[in-house]
Amino acid sequence: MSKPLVSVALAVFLLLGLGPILVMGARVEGADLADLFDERTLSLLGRTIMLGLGASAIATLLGLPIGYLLSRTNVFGREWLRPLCMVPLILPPLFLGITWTALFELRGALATICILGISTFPIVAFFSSTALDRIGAGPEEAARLAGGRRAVMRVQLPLILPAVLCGACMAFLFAINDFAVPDYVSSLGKKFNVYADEVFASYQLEESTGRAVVTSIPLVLLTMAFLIPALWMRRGGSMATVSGKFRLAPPMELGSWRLPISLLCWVVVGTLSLSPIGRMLYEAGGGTTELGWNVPGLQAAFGLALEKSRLDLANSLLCSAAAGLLTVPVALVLAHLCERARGGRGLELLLCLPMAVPAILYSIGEVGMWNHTWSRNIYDSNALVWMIYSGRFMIFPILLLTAAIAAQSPRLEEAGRMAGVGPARRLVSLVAPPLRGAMLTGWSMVFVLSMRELDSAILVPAANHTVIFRVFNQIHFGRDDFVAALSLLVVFFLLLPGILWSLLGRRKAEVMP
Amino acid sequence: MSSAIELTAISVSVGGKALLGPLDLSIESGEHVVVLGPSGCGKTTLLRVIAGLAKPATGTLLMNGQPASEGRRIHLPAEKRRIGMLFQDGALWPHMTAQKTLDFVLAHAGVPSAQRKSRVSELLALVELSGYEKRKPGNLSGGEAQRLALARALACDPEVLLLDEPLGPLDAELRLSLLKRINEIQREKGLTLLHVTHDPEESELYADRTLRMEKGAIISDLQSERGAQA
Amino acid sequence: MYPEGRELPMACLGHLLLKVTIGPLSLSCARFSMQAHMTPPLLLRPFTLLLVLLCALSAGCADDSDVVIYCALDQSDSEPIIREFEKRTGLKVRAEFDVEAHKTVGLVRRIREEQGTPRCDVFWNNEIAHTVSLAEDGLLAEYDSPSAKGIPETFRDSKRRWTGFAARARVFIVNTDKADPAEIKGMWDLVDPKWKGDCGIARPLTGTTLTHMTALFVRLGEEKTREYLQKIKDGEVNLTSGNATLMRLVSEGAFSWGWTDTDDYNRARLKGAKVAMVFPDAGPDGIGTLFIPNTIAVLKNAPHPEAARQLLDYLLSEEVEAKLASFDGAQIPLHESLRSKPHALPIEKMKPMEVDYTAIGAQIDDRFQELRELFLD
Repeated sequence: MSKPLVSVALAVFLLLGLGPILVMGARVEGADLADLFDERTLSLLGRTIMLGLGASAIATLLGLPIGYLLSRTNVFGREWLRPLCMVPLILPPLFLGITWTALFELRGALATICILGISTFPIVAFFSSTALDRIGAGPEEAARLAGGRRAVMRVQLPLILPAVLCGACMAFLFAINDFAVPDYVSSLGKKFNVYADEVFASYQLEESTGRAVVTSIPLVLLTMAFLIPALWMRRGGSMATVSGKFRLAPPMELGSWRLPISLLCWVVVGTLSLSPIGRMLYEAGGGTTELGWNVPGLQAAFGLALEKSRLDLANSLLCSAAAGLLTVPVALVLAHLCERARGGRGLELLLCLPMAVPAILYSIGEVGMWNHTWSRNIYDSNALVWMIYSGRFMIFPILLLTAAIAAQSPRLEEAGRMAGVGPARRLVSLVAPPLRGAMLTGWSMVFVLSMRELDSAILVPAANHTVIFRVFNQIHFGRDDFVAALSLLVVFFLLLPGILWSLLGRRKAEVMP
Repeated sequence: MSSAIELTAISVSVGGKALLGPLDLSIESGEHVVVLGPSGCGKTTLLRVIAGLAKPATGTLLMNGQPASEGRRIHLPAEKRRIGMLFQDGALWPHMTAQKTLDFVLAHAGVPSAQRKSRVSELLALVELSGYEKRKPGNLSGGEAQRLALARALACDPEVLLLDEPLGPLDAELRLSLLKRINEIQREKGLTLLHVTHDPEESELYADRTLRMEKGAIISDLQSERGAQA
Repeated sequence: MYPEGRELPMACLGHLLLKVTIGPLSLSCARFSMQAHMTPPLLLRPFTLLLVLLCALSAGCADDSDVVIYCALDQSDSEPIIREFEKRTGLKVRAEFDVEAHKTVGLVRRIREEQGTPRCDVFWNNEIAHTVSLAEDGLLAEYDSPSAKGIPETFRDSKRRWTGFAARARVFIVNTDKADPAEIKGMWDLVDPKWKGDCGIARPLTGTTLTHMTALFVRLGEEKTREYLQKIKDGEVNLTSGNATLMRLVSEGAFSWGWTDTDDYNRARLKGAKVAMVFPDAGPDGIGTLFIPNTIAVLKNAPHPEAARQLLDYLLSEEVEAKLASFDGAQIPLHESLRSKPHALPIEKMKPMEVDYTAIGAQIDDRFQELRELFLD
């Protein structure tokens, strides 16, 4: 372990990840803790847990079979379906909420749970399929000899169970922290309040930042309570993407079922992934207006979106790409530390904290931290935006790289050490190169999450000039062709890394976040 | 002959569970020692302590009379011990070609870049891998991969070579030919060689001395015929 | 492959970019990359690139503006006005807008957070309560703008820390396919069982709806207002996430009518939705329609006080108010001289609610607590 590298990485994490949390934590006073667990809070928490469990159940019911079929069977076009089924995760959940409520008369708690389930099913599908990919030909073939297809599945399912449960935990976390979907979807009929509303409401209370922090504690605890088992299960290598000499089992032949199952897959994945995009295309072309959908209308909408938001789009792309670039090397060092050093598990939990804290409080903490005369230039610049993105999303490449490093033999490093290669060089030249796929995936994760992130940077000046800021402001004034075109542009850039990889990459399965 | 490696009361434990020792062992310079024993008896741990990849809990390790480990206090880093090692699974770097692998090690051994290319060729020739410069580990057979691992271990010009069951996965014929080659190189270069294996046949062929281990302790230490002649 | 000289650094940078960003793609571009011995030490590659990026980004975005405005009014309406000011004066304005999801609170929160090192010169709020609250907390500077002469005293702070202009009014938007506007008279219709499940209001925790409910506490007293709110909660009134959502749902016919702001109503009207507007409680006994003006103020310890006052004078001018009235939001001008001019909405029929705005600002935090407990259960 290179001390200088580790020190720099920890310092970066302390500054970007923990800094805002510490600033906010320092504002809590004893009196703020008074009504932490009153009846109302508990009822909101109960409802939030219900939302999370419901969403993760739907995510699992959809994600596990889809992940299985796309990973282990010879479904037609599965190499295209795998990236395609990631689309709902990549789209901002509010886009999904708007689309599904426009397409169906879906409202209330059930609708919220369904939409968040759809939004998070790709996580379970991804975890399931990567876990299945790693079982390898040996155990599967032995099972087949022992008892055919049924035996294969009985071998596979226990092996991928930790990964599936880990995915379900992640789906739960995404669902309970979402504020926009429950708010938007239950606009009609009985209101479906969740705990994220309470956190947002506390944030509006101007007098007491301490109380806002305290309000968020139950949500943070809940998040951590689900993160710990998820991390524990992931330790089994459930997310690993790298292995040494390894033979992938050939896909299972579906025989006469191939066509119907393929059709089913295309219909389900196509509907879940392409409907929101289709709906936006329809709106961008003026489909909801009296004129009806038309190509000149579509062109005009895109023209206007580009003209008005070109700079915002460029800013968003730059900040998100830069956040990914800053994050990945730091994440590599920290992931290596988590995996190879003593106390790595504890450190991993600490590294999760920036993601578990409500975004809006994180944002207030950033202002407290950076609004000083000496840091004026940073505060006013884009640099702060991508520093926030980096701090908040660093945990994703860390988790990914930890898993990848866990799958790598420590002998590789020891061989380097025997040859006199120093710790920094070992990390950069021996550990990192085989993890290129995982690093690129980590970069795309940070990029995608940053592109769609609104709340954590919202109070920072430069965040005003990001494209997601403009989209959300425009959504307020009614969905029109301009907003739809702008949203489509955002979606295009969100999907771009995946599309490029699918077209040009060699190991397709590794890239999609 | 002087002692290349001398272990005194060396023990290793993890989480309170003793893995090795306390044991005493002295290996002469240029000696070929085979360590035999069942799985989990502490053979690999012994090699890792000598290599500097594991710290002993107690005891002293001297290399050429100089202290390398003394309990947890003095610890000569692995890279400064002039030891080459062959790992069980080869542990070749999957992203590097044969040439790049050796070049990388030579660069770290301080060999000037002008000389590295010829040294790489020599090393590849030594392990009979000439013409394999551009191959990556994925494109090498099991025997070729272990020969490349041997070249890598020799690249840093070691005094001691540690073999951690490197021949296990190979077929018998290949194993014997590689063992022969390793032995020739050992004799040529006067290396001290410590070979961990669970195959008694391997020890009989070239070993000067055979150690048997069980439950972390050396239960027998026999000079072979060849060792006695030497 | 590359000649010695100036092309090399670019080639190097290109190589690094490929290597770090789209690593595997660079494999296919391998013929463009340099030989291993020409590349910088491996460790330095990503960090060098990061450093370059860091410098480029930071240097490109440092603030060099002459005046900074925080603006909670919709960006599409306020931005052209601010740019016009820039054009006329040659001053560079840095405008920061609020995101609608935060309903004004974002900027107010930021002003409070930044009070140690103020960054903002002028605060243009799209409502009044939070501005009053900022004034009460001593964060606004006194300035009696000459442009505010024609604005009634009701909409001006007695200490001249803020001035109201270009107002919205709280009105009913009615889908004419689903309901007869003549049947809807005032606020109590919302909780009439006749309209059960068929009318709505934005959840009164943010924006103008929060201000509106606080105004009811000030105007009607605690008992009556609490009764009203309880009825909203107990009856099946649709609670939307905001006024614009409500406007959209009424336009689409999801339910028949609801409270919204005049700007949202006018946008629906311009889009061709079949909607009508009702001024609530306009009868002789009614409390009238609540006006919620935009408010503007110079911050205490503003970094650029001179330019701030200049900008404030411009924004309070009759010209700007007339312009805001002509936009899609159809803001209602408060300058006496403009009241008689033609307007998109029949504003002459409105009966403004008489209410003490300072009291609204003073109470809003406490009322919010109460509303939160009622509506976030």
